[in-house]
Amino acid sequence: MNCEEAIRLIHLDADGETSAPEGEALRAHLLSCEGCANEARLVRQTARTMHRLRTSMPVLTQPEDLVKSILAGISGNTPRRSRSGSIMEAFFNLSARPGFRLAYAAVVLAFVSLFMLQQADTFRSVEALGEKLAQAQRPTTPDVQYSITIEDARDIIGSSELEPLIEGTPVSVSSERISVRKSDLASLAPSLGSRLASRLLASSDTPVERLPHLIVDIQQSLTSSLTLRPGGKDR
Amino acid sequence: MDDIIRKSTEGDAASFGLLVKAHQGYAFALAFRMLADEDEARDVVQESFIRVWKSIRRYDPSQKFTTWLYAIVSRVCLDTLRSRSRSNRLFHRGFDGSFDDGPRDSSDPEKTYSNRELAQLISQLSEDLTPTQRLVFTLRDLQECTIAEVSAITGLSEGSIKTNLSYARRRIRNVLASQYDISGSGS
Repeated sequence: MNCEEAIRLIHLDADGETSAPEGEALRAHLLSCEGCANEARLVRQTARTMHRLRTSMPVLTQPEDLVKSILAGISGNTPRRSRSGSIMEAFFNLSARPGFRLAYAAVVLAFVSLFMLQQADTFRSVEALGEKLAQAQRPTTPDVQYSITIEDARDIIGSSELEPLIEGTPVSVSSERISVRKSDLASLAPSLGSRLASRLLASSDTPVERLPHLIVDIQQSLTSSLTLRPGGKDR
Repeated sequence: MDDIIRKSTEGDAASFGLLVKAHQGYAFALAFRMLADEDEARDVVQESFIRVWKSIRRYDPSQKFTTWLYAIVSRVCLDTLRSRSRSNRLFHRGFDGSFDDGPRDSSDPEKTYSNRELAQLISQLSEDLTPTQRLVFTLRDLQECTIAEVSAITGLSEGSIKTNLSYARRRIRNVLASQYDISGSGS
């Protein structure tokens, strides 16, 4: 017997499937072949170990306690009703139905359209808000320029006194007119004198009732009487 | 048993308790042989039966109940093994290199192992096996399921089962050769 045949018989022998003559021949070979004898020991040992593992059932201690734990774990829960499983499974089952994909696409499109409309509204709202902010930052009343002709000014205070009077002040002088901004007029009124100040004030197109603060300021600034002419224009 | 299962599907907890009593031993044996840890095996059995309860309406009566139960227990065992592996405690009751008793005593082939001895031996034999190899070996060689049953439980193909089983058996044979100081022919 050669080793190849011996190995085949060793495995059959472990399962009790060798004939008596095969068993005799195998034993004779094992006496003279150390390698095959070791293989036979290993196969027997493996078979014995596996047999013990199979027949040694792990012992479940306190089985009643385990039942109680399980029943406590399920209390308050009932078996799930859906046979189709999870929500995702239900979705995929539904998706196989005719028309579902078209309806699904329509719903998605509707949501996308709604989203875009909402975005457009948002953009418009932001734009309107920006405009409101810009308006809020602008002066509520424009800083009006009051102006009269140099000729009128000279008539009021005399030609020789006009130039020293306005020199170094915010009053601007062109070839024909002198001008002053509304915001400067109140502070300038005392130095300009009541007549020139009132004439400059009267040159504005702005109705008097819209200039209450300026009027009060001028009234407080001037000691002499000040004649206001609503809505009038100097030229 | 069919009546107990039917009542369980209707939410009858008392019937489900009977179902648990009838099958918890087999479920525990599978979990124990997979995990080699008594406490973890109990936890797996508890978790598995809670999953059975939740999904019992999906049970197909044309299938053996034990096959369905084993599939659930197997999944929970694999989750536990992978979790154990992730936490670097793959062999938290690892074999220390020698048996206290039992396995060395080969004079009585019918002697059975205690839980502790079994845990030691299983830990040693399946030390280097992947969770899938361990599962296939346990189901086929210890629980004595057929290849078709192993396939139904694990969802693996027959080819994959045979490959995993072959590797597992070769590895276990090498472990035993080393343990018993036997140098086989390597067949």
